[in-house]
Amino acid sequence: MSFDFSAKGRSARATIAVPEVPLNAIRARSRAARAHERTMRIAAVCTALVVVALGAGTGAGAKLYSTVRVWVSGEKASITVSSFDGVREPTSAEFHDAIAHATFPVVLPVGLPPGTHVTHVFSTPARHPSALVISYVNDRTGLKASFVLVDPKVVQLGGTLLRMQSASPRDVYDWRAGGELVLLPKTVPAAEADRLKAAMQTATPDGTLRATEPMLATISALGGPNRLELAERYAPRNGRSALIDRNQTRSVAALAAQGRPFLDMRVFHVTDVPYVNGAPDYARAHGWNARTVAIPPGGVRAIAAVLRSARGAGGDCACEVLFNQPNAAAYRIWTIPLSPSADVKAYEVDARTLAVVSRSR
Amino acid sequence: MERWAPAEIVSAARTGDEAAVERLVGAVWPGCFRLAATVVGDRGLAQDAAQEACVIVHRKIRSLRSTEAFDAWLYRIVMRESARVRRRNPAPAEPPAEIAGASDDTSALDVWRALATLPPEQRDVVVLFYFDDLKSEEIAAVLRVRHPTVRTRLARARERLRGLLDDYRDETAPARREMKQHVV
Repeated sequence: MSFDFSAKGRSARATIAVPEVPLNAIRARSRAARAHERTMRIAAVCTALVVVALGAGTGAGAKLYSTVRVWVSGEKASITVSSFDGVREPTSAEFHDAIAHATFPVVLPVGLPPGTHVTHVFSTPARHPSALVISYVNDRTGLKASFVLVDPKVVQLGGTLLRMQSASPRDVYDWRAGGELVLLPKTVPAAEADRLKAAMQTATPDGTLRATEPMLATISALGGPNRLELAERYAPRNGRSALIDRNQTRSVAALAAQGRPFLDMRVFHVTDVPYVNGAPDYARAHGWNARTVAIPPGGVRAIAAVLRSARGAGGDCACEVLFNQPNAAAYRIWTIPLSPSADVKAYEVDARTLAVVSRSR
Repeated sequence: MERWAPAEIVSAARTGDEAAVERLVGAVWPGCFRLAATVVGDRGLAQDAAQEACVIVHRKIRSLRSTEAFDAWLYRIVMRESARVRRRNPAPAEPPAEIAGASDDTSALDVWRALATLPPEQRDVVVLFYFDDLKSEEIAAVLRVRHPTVRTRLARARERLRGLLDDYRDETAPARREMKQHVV
Protein backbone atom coordinates (compact mmCIF):
# COMPACT_ATOMS: atom_id res chain seq x y z
CA MET A 1 0.00 0.00 0.00
CA SER A 2 2.98 2.25 0.38
CA PHE A 3 2.82 2.70 -3.40
CA ASP A 4 1.48 6.23 -3.13
CA PHE A 5 -0.57 6.40 0.03
CA SER A 6 2.20 8.19 1.90
CA ALA A 7 2.63 10.76 -0.83
CA LYS A 8 -1.13 11.22 -1.20
CA GLY A 9 -1.56 11.59 2.54
CA ARG A 10 1.30 14.02 2.92
CA SER A 11 0.14 16.18 0.05
CA ALA A 12 -3.46 16.05 1.33
CA ARG A 13 -2.26 17.16 4.74
CA ALA A 14 -0.18 19.95 3.28
CA THR A 15 -3.33 21.44 1.74
CA ILE A 16 -5.05 21.81 5.13
CA ALA A 17 -5.47 25.52 5.73
CA VAL A 18 -3.98 26.42 9.10
CA PRO A 19 -5.72 29.02 11.26
CA GLU A 20 -3.68 31.79 12.77
CA VAL A 21 -1.79 30.76 15.89
CA PRO A 22 -3.88 31.85 18.93
CA LEU A 23 -0.85 33.19 20.76
CA ASN A 24 -2.77 35.34 23.23
CA ALA A 25 -4.91 32.43 24.33
CA ILE A 26 -1.90 30.12 24.56
CA ARG A 27 0.02 32.67 26.58
CA ALA A 28 -2.88 33.31 28.96
CA ARG A 29 -3.66 29.64 29.48
CA SER A 30 -0.02 28.79 30.00
CA ARG A 31 0.27 31.40 32.72
CA ALA A 32 -2.94 30.25 34.40
CA ALA A 33 -1.72 26.66 34.33
CA ARG A 34 1.64 27.69 35.78
CA ALA A 35 -0.13 29.47 38.60
CA HIS A 36 -2.20 26.35 39.21
CA GLU A 37 0.93 24.19 39.28
CA ARG A 38 2.52 26.59 41.73
CA THR A 39 -0.53 26.24 43.92
CA MET A 40 -0.32 22.47 43.73
CA ARG A 41 3.35 22.56 44.70
CA ILE A 42 2.53 24.73 47.68
CA ALA A 43 -0.28 22.36 48.57
CA ALA A 44 2.11 19.43 48.43
CA VAL A 45 4.52 21.25 50.72
CA CYS A 46 1.72 22.07 53.13
CA THR A 47 0.56 18.49 53.16
CA ALA A 48 4.08 17.46 54.03
CA LEU A 49 3.97 19.99 56.83
CA VAL A 50 0.86 18.38 58.22
CA VAL A 51 2.61 15.02 58.18
CA VAL A 52 5.57 16.48 59.99
CA ALA A 53 3.19 18.21 62.30
CA LEU A 54 1.75 14.98 63.50
CA GLY A 55 5.09 13.50 64.31
CA ALA A 56 6.26 16.63 66.03
CA GLY A 57 3.07 17.29 67.88
CA THR A 58 2.65 13.92 69.42
CA GLY A 59 6.17 12.66 69.81
CA ALA A 60 5.00 9.13 69.38
CA GLY A 61 2.68 7.55 66.86
CA ALA A 62 -0.29 9.51 65.61
CA LYS A 63 -3.33 9.09 63.53
CA LEU A 64 -5.54 11.72 62.07
CA TYR A 65 -9.09 10.80 61.37
CA SER A 66 -11.75 12.23 59.14
CA THR A 67 -10.33 13.20 55.76
CA VAL A 68 -7.08 14.33 57.29
CA ARG A 69 -5.60 11.06 58.32
CA VAL A 70 -2.28 9.43 58.79
CA TRP A 71 -1.70 5.77 59.16
CA VAL A 72 1.40 3.90 59.98
CA SER A 73 2.62 1.07 57.84
CA GLY A 74 5.92 -0.31 58.96
CA GLU A 75 8.29 2.62 58.89
CA LYS A 76 6.45 4.57 56.25
CA ALA A 77 4.02 7.27 57.20
CA SER A 78 1.30 8.26 54.78
CA ILE A 79 -1.23 10.99 54.87
CA THR A 80 -4.63 11.19 53.33
CA VAL A 81 -5.87 14.62 52.44
CA SER A 82 -8.82 13.98 50.22
CA SER A 83 -9.86 17.58 49.74
CA PHE A 84 -8.79 21.10 50.54
CA ASP A 85 -9.64 24.69 49.75
CA GLY A 86 -7.11 27.44 49.33
CA VAL A 87 -6.89 31.15 48.80
CA ARG A 88 -3.93 33.15 47.57
CA GLU A 89 -3.50 36.67 49.01
CA PRO A 90 -6.78 36.37 50.92
CA THR A 91 -8.93 39.36 51.68
CA SER A 92 -10.59 39.71 55.05
CA ALA A 93 -13.86 38.15 53.87
CA GLU A 94 -12.05 35.23 52.26
CA PHE A 95 -9.93 34.64 55.34
CA HIS A 96 -12.96 34.67 57.63
CA ASP A 97 -14.67 32.25 55.29
CA ALA A 98 -11.67 29.90 55.34
CA ILE A 99 -11.54 29.59 59.11
CA ALA A 100 -15.22 30.05 59.95
CA HIS A 101 -16.14 26.37 59.87
CA ALA A 102 -13.00 24.97 61.46
CA THR A 103 -13.67 22.16 63.91
CA PHE A 104 -11.64 23.93 66.62
CA PRO A 105 -11.41 27.49 68.00
CA VAL A 106 -8.64 28.90 65.85
CA VAL A 107 -5.87 30.80 67.61
CA LEU A 108 -4.03 32.51 64.78
CA PRO A 109 -0.33 33.31 64.82
CA VAL A 110 0.36 36.64 66.52
CA GLY A 111 3.51 38.55 67.36
CA LEU A 112 4.71 38.59 63.77
CA PRO A 113 6.82 41.61 62.78
CA PRO A 114 5.09 44.69 61.30
CA GLY A 115 4.68 44.55 57.54
CA THR A 116 3.93 40.81 57.51
CA HIS A 117 1.09 39.69 55.27
CA VAL A 118 -0.77 36.46 54.69
CA THR A 119 0.03 34.87 51.31
CA HIS A 120 -1.97 31.64 51.44
CA VAL A 121 -4.56 29.87 53.51
CA PHE A 122 -5.28 26.17 53.03
CA SER A 123 -8.06 24.43 54.88
CA THR A 124 -8.56 20.69 54.93
CA PRO A 125 -10.96 18.95 54.74
CA ALA A 126 -12.58 21.51 52.53
CA ARG A 127 -15.83 22.34 54.32
CA HIS A 128 -15.10 21.74 57.99
CA PRO A 129 -11.34 21.96 58.29
CA SER A 130 -9.56 20.15 61.06
CA ALA A 131 -6.22 21.48 59.80
CA LEU A 132 -5.28 24.93 58.52
CA VAL A 133 -2.04 25.96 56.87
CA ILE A 134 -1.41 29.70 56.87
CA SER A 135 1.62 31.15 55.10
CA TYR A 136 3.12 34.53 55.94
CA VAL A 137 5.72 36.69 54.24
CA ASN A 138 7.48 39.82 55.38
CA ASP A 139 9.49 41.51 52.64
CA ARG A 140 11.24 43.83 55.08
CA THR A 141 12.58 41.17 57.44
CA GLY A 142 12.71 38.31 54.93
CA LEU A 143 10.35 36.22 57.07
CA LYS A 144 8.69 33.30 55.31
CA ALA A 145 6.75 31.01 57.57
CA SER A 146 3.92 28.53 57.25
CA PHE A 147 1.99 27.68 60.38
CA VAL A 148 0.01 24.47 60.62
CA LEU A 149 -2.89 24.62 63.04
CA VAL A 150 -4.45 21.24 63.80
CA ASP A 151 -7.47 20.18 65.78
CA PRO A 152 -6.04 17.94 68.53
CA LYS A 153 -9.23 15.88 68.51
CA VAL A 154 -8.26 14.30 65.21
CA VAL A 155 -4.88 13.27 66.53
CA GLN A 156 -4.76 10.00 68.39
CA LEU A 157 -1.83 9.51 70.68
CA GLY A 158 -0.08 6.23 71.18
CA GLY A 159 0.51 3.40 68.80
CA THR A 160 3.51 2.66 66.69
CA LEU A 161 6.31 5.16 66.47
CA LEU A 162 5.72 7.36 63.48
CA ARG A 163 8.82 7.80 61.40
CA MET A 164 9.08 10.21 58.56
CA GLN A 165 10.81 9.31 55.34
CA SER A 166 10.92 12.68 53.68
CA ALA A 167 10.63 15.06 56.57
CA SER A 168 11.69 14.91 60.13
CA PRO A 169 9.75 16.09 63.19
CA ARG A 170 13.05 17.53 64.39
CA ASP A 171 12.65 20.19 61.69
CA VAL A 172 9.48 21.57 63.27
CA TYR A 173 8.64 23.56 66.42
CA ASP A 174 5.41 22.51 68.07
CA TRP A 175 3.28 23.80 70.87
CA ARG A 176 -0.27 23.91 72.12
CA ALA A 177 -2.23 27.16 72.00
CA GLY A 178 -5.80 27.19 73.29
CA GLY A 179 -7.54 24.19 71.77
CA GLU A 180 -5.14 23.60 68.91
CA LEU A 181 -1.82 22.09 68.05
CA VAL A 182 0.56 24.55 66.37
CA LEU A 183 3.42 23.51 64.14
CA LEU A 184 6.02 25.73 62.62
CA PRO A 185 8.87 24.54 60.38
CA LYS A 186 12.25 25.63 61.64
CA THR A 187 12.61 28.43 59.11
CA VAL A 188 12.68 30.97 61.91
CA PRO A 189 15.24 31.19 64.75
CA ALA A 190 14.40 29.40 68.00
CA ALA A 191 14.16 32.69 69.94
CA GLU A 192 11.64 34.02 67.44
CA ALA A 193 9.64 30.80 67.67
CA ASP A 194 9.61 31.07 71.47
CA ARG A 195 8.33 34.63 71.22
CA LEU A 196 5.55 33.60 68.80
CA LYS A 197 4.66 30.65 71.03
CA ALA A 198 4.38 32.89 74.09
CA ALA A 199 2.22 35.40 72.19
CA MET A 200 -0.13 32.72 70.91
CA GLN A 201 -0.47 30.94 74.26
CA THR A 202 -1.74 34.09 75.95
CA ALA A 203 -4.06 35.16 73.13
CA THR A 204 -7.72 34.48 72.46
CA PRO A 205 -9.19 33.39 69.11
CA ASP A 206 -11.04 36.71 68.65
CA GLY A 207 -7.98 38.73 69.61
CA THR A 208 -5.76 36.90 67.13
CA LEU A 209 -8.34 37.39 64.38
CA ARG A 210 -8.31 41.14 65.03
CA ALA A 211 -4.52 41.14 64.99
CA THR A 212 -4.53 39.30 61.66
CA GLU A 213 -6.80 41.81 59.88
CA PRO A 214 -3.97 44.23 58.98
CA MET A 215 -2.06 41.32 57.44
CA LEU A 216 -4.82 40.57 54.93
CA ALA A 217 -5.11 41.99 51.42
CA THR A 218 -7.60 44.81 50.95
CA ILE A 219 -7.67 44.40 47.17
CA SER A 220 -7.83 41.42 44.83
CA ALA A 221 -4.29 40.65 43.66
CA LEU A 222 -4.49 39.06 40.20
CA GLY A 223 -1.50 37.14 38.87
CA GLY A 224 1.54 37.62 41.06
CA PRO A 225 1.91 41.36 41.64
CA ASN A 226 5.04 42.69 43.30
CA ARG A 227 3.64 46.06 44.35
CA LEU A 228 0.67 44.91 46.43
CA GLU A 229 1.72 46.78 49.54
CA LEU A 230 2.12 50.05 47.64
CA ALA A 231 -1.12 49.52 45.72
CA GLU A 232 -3.01 49.04 48.98
CA ARG A 233 -1.95 52.52 50.02
CA TYR A 234 -3.59 54.00 46.94
CA ALA A 235 -6.70 51.80 46.77
CA PRO A 236 -9.82 53.61 47.96
CA ARG A 237 -11.91 51.89 50.60
CA ASN A 238 -15.06 52.20 48.54
CA GLY A 239 -15.86 50.22 45.40
CA ARG A 240 -14.07 47.10 44.27
CA SER A 241 -10.35 47.24 43.67
CA ALA A 242 -8.02 44.84 41.89
CA LEU A 243 -4.33 44.87 41.10
CA ILE A 244 -3.05 43.18 37.94
CA ASP A 245 0.58 42.20 37.53
CA ARG A 246 2.84 43.16 34.66
CA ASN A 247 2.24 39.95 32.70
CA GLN A 248 -1.46 40.54 32.81
CA THR A 249 -1.12 44.11 31.61
CA ARG A 250 0.20 42.60 28.38
CA SER A 251 -3.11 40.89 27.76
CA VAL A 252 -5.22 43.98 28.41
CA ALA A 253 -5.42 45.00 24.74
CA ALA A 254 -6.49 41.53 23.61
CA LEU A 255 -9.10 41.17 26.36
CA ALA A 256 -10.46 44.64 25.65
CA ALA A 257 -10.77 43.84 21.95
CA GLN A 258 -12.65 40.64 22.77
CA GLY A 259 -14.88 42.30 25.37
CA ARG A 260 -13.71 39.90 28.08
CA PRO A 261 -13.21 40.56 31.80
CA PHE A 262 -10.25 39.88 34.08
CA LEU A 263 -11.11 36.87 36.19
CA ASP A 264 -10.17 36.42 39.81
CA MET A 265 -8.93 32.86 40.22
CA ARG A 266 -7.23 33.13 43.61
CA VAL A 267 -9.68 30.83 45.34
CA PHE A 268 -9.24 27.17 44.49
CA HIS A 269 -10.73 23.87 45.50
CA VAL A 270 -9.19 20.43 45.26
CA THR A 271 -11.13 17.22 45.79
CA ASP A 272 -10.71 13.53 45.06
CA VAL A 273 -6.97 13.54 45.66
CA PRO A 274 -5.80 10.09 44.57
CA TYR A 275 -2.96 8.31 46.32
CA VAL A 276 -0.15 6.41 44.68
CA ASN A 277 2.01 4.30 46.98
CA GLY A 278 0.74 6.30 49.92
CA ALA A 279 1.62 9.68 48.41
CA PRO A 280 -0.95 12.17 47.16
CA ASP A 281 -0.94 12.58 43.38
CA TYR A 282 -2.12 16.17 42.98
CA ALA A 283 -1.68 16.07 39.23
CA ARG A 284 -4.64 13.69 39.01
CA ALA A 285 -6.76 15.36 41.66
CA HIS A 286 -9.92 17.15 40.70
CA GLY A 287 -9.12 20.82 41.10
CA TRP A 288 -10.67 24.03 39.92
CA ASN A 289 -10.34 27.71 40.51
CA ALA A 290 -13.29 29.89 41.36
CA ARG A 291 -13.74 32.31 38.47
CA THR A 292 -15.29 35.52 39.59
CA VAL A 293 -15.14 38.70 37.59
CA ALA A 294 -12.53 40.99 39.13
CA ILE A 295 -12.53 43.64 36.43
CA PRO A 296 -15.55 43.77 34.11
CA PRO A 297 -15.14 44.22 30.34
CA GLY A 298 -15.80 47.95 30.66
CA GLY A 299 -13.00 48.23 33.21
CA VAL A 300 -10.63 46.31 30.96
CA ARG A 301 -11.40 48.75 28.13
CA ALA A 302 -10.73 51.62 30.53
CA ILE A 303 -7.33 50.14 31.47
CA ALA A 304 -6.55 49.68 27.78
CA ALA A 305 -7.39 53.34 27.21
CA VAL A 306 -5.09 54.38 30.05
CA LEU A 307 -2.22 52.21 28.79
CA ARG A 308 -2.68 53.58 25.27
CA SER A 309 -2.62 57.14 26.51
CA ALA A 310 0.37 56.44 28.76
CA ARG A 311 2.50 54.37 26.47
CA GLY A 312 0.98 54.31 22.98
CA ALA A 313 -0.54 51.24 21.35
CA GLY A 314 2.06 48.80 22.73
CA GLY A 315 0.49 48.81 26.16
CA ASP A 316 3.50 47.27 27.97
CA CYS A 317 4.04 49.89 30.64
CA ALA A 318 6.54 47.94 32.81
CA CYS A 319 4.06 48.51 35.57
CA GLU A 320 1.28 46.94 37.55
CA VAL A 321 -2.20 48.39 37.28
CA LEU A 322 -4.54 49.13 40.15
CA PHE A 323 -8.21 49.29 39.21
CA ASN A 324 -11.09 50.68 41.22
CA GLN A 325 -14.69 51.27 40.31
CA PRO A 326 -16.21 53.78 42.75
CA ASN A 327 -19.51 53.99 40.84
CA ALA A 328 -21.12 53.07 37.55
CA ALA A 329 -20.02 56.27 35.80
CA ALA A 330 -16.27 56.19 36.27
CA TYR A 331 -13.22 54.03 36.77
CA ARG A 332 -10.08 54.94 38.70
CA ILE A 333 -6.84 53.50 37.49
CA TRP A 334 -3.27 53.77 38.80
CA THR A 335 -0.17 52.65 36.94
CA ILE A 336 2.37 51.49 39.50
CA PRO A 337 5.85 51.18 37.98
CA LEU A 338 7.94 48.16 38.91
CA SER A 339 10.85 50.50 39.46
CA PRO A 340 10.57 51.97 42.97
CA SER A 341 12.09 55.25 41.76
CA ALA A 342 9.37 55.90 39.17
CA ASP A 343 6.16 57.69 40.05
CA VAL A 344 2.73 56.18 40.47
CA LYS A 345 0.28 57.84 38.07
CA ALA A 346 -3.45 58.14 38.67
CA TYR A 347 -6.19 58.41 36.07
CA GLU A 348 -9.94 58.70 35.94
CA VAL A 349 -11.77 57.18 33.00
CA ASP A 350 -15.30 58.00 31.94
CA ALA A 351 -17.17 54.68 31.84
CA ARG A 352 -19.23 55.74 28.81
CA THR A 353 -16.76 57.58 26.59
CA LEU A 354 -13.52 56.05 27.94
CA ALA A 355 -12.03 59.53 28.06
CA VAL A 356 -8.88 59.45 30.20
CA VAL A 357 -8.04 62.25 32.60
CA SER A 358 -4.87 62.39 34.72
CA ARG A 359 -5.43 62.91 38.43
CA SER A 360 -3.12 64.10 41.13
CA ARG A 361 -3.51 60.83 43.01
CA MET B 1 11.90 11.95 13.03
CA GLU B 2 10.74 15.02 11.20
CA ARG B 3 11.87 18.25 12.84
CA TRP B 4 9.08 20.45 14.13
CA ALA B 5 11.30 23.48 14.42
CA PRO B 6 14.98 24.32 13.89
CA ALA B 7 17.17 23.18 16.77
CA GLU B 8 18.38 26.71 17.49
CA ILE B 9 14.80 27.88 18.13
CA VAL B 10 14.20 24.93 20.44
CA SER B 11 17.48 25.59 22.25
CA ALA B 12 16.69 29.26 22.70
CA ALA B 13 13.22 28.46 24.01
CA ARG B 14 14.67 26.02 26.55
CA THR B 15 16.55 28.89 28.16
CA GLY B 16 13.19 30.33 29.18
CA ASP B 17 13.40 33.44 27.02
CA GLU B 18 9.75 34.42 26.56
CA ALA B 19 10.21 35.73 23.01
CA ALA B 20 12.01 32.53 21.97
CA VAL B 21 9.25 30.38 23.47
CA GLU B 22 6.65 32.30 21.49
CA ARG B 23 8.76 31.97 18.33
CA LEU B 24 8.84 28.24 18.91
CA VAL B 25 5.07 28.07 19.41
CA GLY B 26 4.60 29.99 16.16
CA ALA B 27 6.93 27.57 14.36
CA VAL B 28 5.28 24.37 15.58
CA TRP B 29 1.67 25.53 15.38
CA PRO B 30 1.04 24.60 11.70
CA GLY B 31 2.46 21.12 12.22
CA CYS B 32 0.52 20.60 15.43
CA PHE B 33 -2.72 21.71 13.81
CA ARG B 34 -2.27 19.58 10.70
CA LEU B 35 -1.29 16.46 12.65
CA ALA B 36 -4.25 16.93 15.00
CA ALA B 37 -6.62 17.55 12.06
CA THR B 38 -5.41 14.36 10.41
CA VAL B 39 -6.03 12.18 13.43
CA VAL B 40 -9.23 13.76 14.76
CA GLY B 41 -10.81 14.61 11.38
CA ASP B 42 -12.35 17.88 12.47
CA ARG B 43 -10.93 21.39 12.27
CA GLY B 44 -12.53 22.68 15.46
CA LEU B 45 -11.35 19.73 17.53
CA ALA B 46 -7.94 19.91 15.88
CA GLN B 47 -7.64 23.53 16.91
CA ASP B 48 -8.49 22.59 20.51
CA ALA B 49 -5.91 19.80 20.52
CA ALA B 50 -3.21 21.91 18.85
CA GLN B 51 -3.83 24.81 21.19
CA GLU B 52 -3.62 22.54 24.22
CA ALA B 53 -0.37 21.08 22.88
CA CYS B 54 1.08 24.55 22.36
CA VAL B 55 0.05 25.58 25.88
CA ILE B 56 2.06 22.62 27.19
CA VAL B 57 5.04 23.58 25.01
CA HIS B 58 4.79 27.18 26.24
CA ARG B 59 4.61 26.05 29.83
CA LYS B 60 7.09 23.21 29.97
CA ILE B 61 9.74 23.77 27.32
CA ARG B 62 12.06 25.10 30.02
CA SER B 63 12.09 21.73 31.73
CA LEU B 64 12.71 19.66 28.59
CA ARG B 65 15.83 17.58 29.26
CA SER B 66 17.46 18.10 25.83
CA THR B 67 16.87 19.79 22.50
CA GLU B 68 17.08 16.40 20.77
CA ALA B 69 14.16 15.14 22.84
CA PHE B 70 11.86 17.86 21.51
CA ASP B 71 10.51 16.08 18.43
CA ALA B 72 9.45 12.92 20.21
CA TRP B 73 8.08 14.98 23.10
CA LEU B 74 5.89 17.10 20.87
CA TYR B 75 4.61 14.10 18.93
CA ARG B 76 3.57 12.54 22.23
CA ILE B 77 1.83 15.72 23.35
CA VAL B 78 -0.09 16.29 20.11
CA MET B 79 -1.21 12.67 19.90
CA ARG B 80 -2.24 12.62 23.54
CA GLU B 81 -4.21 15.86 23.26
CA SER B 82 -5.82 14.69 20.03
CA ALA B 83 -6.88 11.48 21.71
CA ARG B 84 -8.28 13.51 24.58
CA VAL B 85 -10.47 15.76 22.42
CA ARG B 86 -11.53 12.75 20.39
CA ARG B 87 -12.68 10.94 23.52
CA ARG B 88 -14.73 13.97 24.57
CA ASN B 89 -16.17 14.48 21.10
CA PRO B 90 -16.51 11.29 19.07
CA ALA B 91 -15.31 11.99 15.54
CA PRO B 92 -17.86 12.64 12.81
CA ALA B 93 -18.68 9.65 10.63
CA GLU B 94 -17.62 11.50 7.48
CA PRO B 95 -14.74 13.93 7.60
CA PRO B 96 -15.87 17.42 6.68
CA ALA B 97 -14.93 18.44 3.17
CA GLU B 98 -13.19 21.55 4.46
CA ILE B 99 -10.49 19.38 6.04
CA ALA B 100 -9.33 18.67 2.51
CA GLY B 101 -8.67 22.37 2.16
CA ALA B 102 -8.60 24.24 -1.13
CA SER B 103 -7.16 21.32 -3.02
CA ASP B 104 -8.86 20.33 -6.26
CA ASP B 105 -7.39 16.89 -5.88
CA THR B 106 -10.33 14.61 -5.14
CA SER B 107 -7.94 11.94 -3.93
CA ALA B 108 -7.19 14.14 -0.92
CA LEU B 109 -10.80 13.86 0.15
CA ASP B 110 -10.64 10.13 -0.41
CA VAL B 111 -7.62 9.95 1.90
CA TRP B 112 -9.63 11.62 4.67
CA ARG B 113 -12.58 9.35 4.02
CA ALA B 114 -10.36 6.32 4.18
CA LEU B 115 -8.76 7.47 7.41
CA ALA B 116 -12.16 8.17 8.93
CA THR B 117 -13.17 4.55 8.46
CA LEU B 118 -10.32 3.38 10.67
CA PRO B 119 -10.71 2.95 14.41
CA PRO B 120 -8.83 5.76 16.18
CA GLU B 121 -5.94 3.60 17.36
CA GLN B 122 -5.33 2.33 13.82
CA ARG B 123 -5.68 5.82 12.35
CA ASP B 124 -3.01 7.11 14.73
CA VAL B 125 -0.41 4.55 13.68
CA VAL B 126 -1.24 4.94 9.98
CA VAL B 127 -0.81 8.70 10.14
CA LEU B 128 2.46 8.51 12.05
CA PHE B 129 3.82 5.71 9.88
CA TYR B 130 2.79 6.88 6.42
CA PHE B 131 2.47 10.66 6.74
CA ASP B 132 5.18 11.36 9.28
CA ASP B 133 7.58 8.58 8.37
CA LEU B 134 8.02 7.45 11.94
CA LYS B 135 9.42 3.99 12.50
CA SER B 136 7.20 1.55 14.33
CA GLU B 137 9.50 1.67 17.38
CA GLU B 138 9.16 5.45 17.44
CA ILE B 139 5.38 5.17 17.10
CA ALA B 140 5.35 2.77 20.03
CA ALA B 141 7.22 5.34 22.10
CA VAL B 142 4.96 8.21 21.02
CA LEU B 143 1.73 6.32 21.72
CA ARG B 144 3.17 4.54 24.74
CA VAL B 145 2.17 1.11 23.51
CA ARG B 146 4.24 -2.00 22.88
CA HIS B 147 6.04 -2.39 19.60
CA PRO B 148 4.11 -5.52 18.53
CA THR B 149 0.89 -3.63 19.17
CA VAL B 150 1.92 -0.99 16.64
CA ARG B 151 2.71 -3.66 14.07
CA THR B 152 -0.62 -5.38 14.63
CA ARG B 153 -2.55 -2.14 14.29
CA LEU B 154 -0.65 -1.25 11.18
CA ALA B 155 -1.33 -4.63 9.61
CA ARG B 156 -5.03 -4.42 10.36
CA ALA B 157 -5.22 -0.86 9.05
CA ARG B 158 -3.45 -1.85 5.83
CA GLU B 159 -5.89 -4.68 5.35
CA ARG B 160 -8.81 -2.33 5.74
CA LEU B 161 -7.34 0.42 3.59
CA ARG B 162 -6.31 -1.95 0.85
CA GLY B 163 -9.92 -2.44 -0.16
CA LEU B 164 -10.87 1.18 0.34
CA LEU B 165 -8.10 2.66 -1.74
CA ASP B 166 -8.05 0.10 -4.53
CA ASP B 167 -8.90 2.82 -7.01
CA TYR B 168 -5.64 4.50 -6.17
CA ARG B 169 -3.46 1.45 -6.39
CA ASP B 170 -0.45 2.37 -8.39
CA GLU B 171 -1.13 0.82 -11.77
CA THR B 172 2.45 1.24 -12.83
CA ALA B 173 3.81 -0.72 -9.90
CA PRO B 174 3.94 -4.13 -11.63
CA ALA B 175 5.63 -2.59 -14.64
CA ARG B 176 8.16 -0.84 -12.41
CA ARG B 177 8.88 -4.04 -10.52
CA GLU B 178 9.47 -5.85 -13.77
CA MET B 179 11.72 -3.07 -15.01
CA LYS B 180 13.71 -3.19 -11.77
CA GLN B 181 14.23 -6.93 -12.14
CA HIS B 182 15.58 -6.45 -15.64
CA VAL B 183 17.82 -3.58 -14.72
CA VAL B 184 19.21 -5.29 -11.65
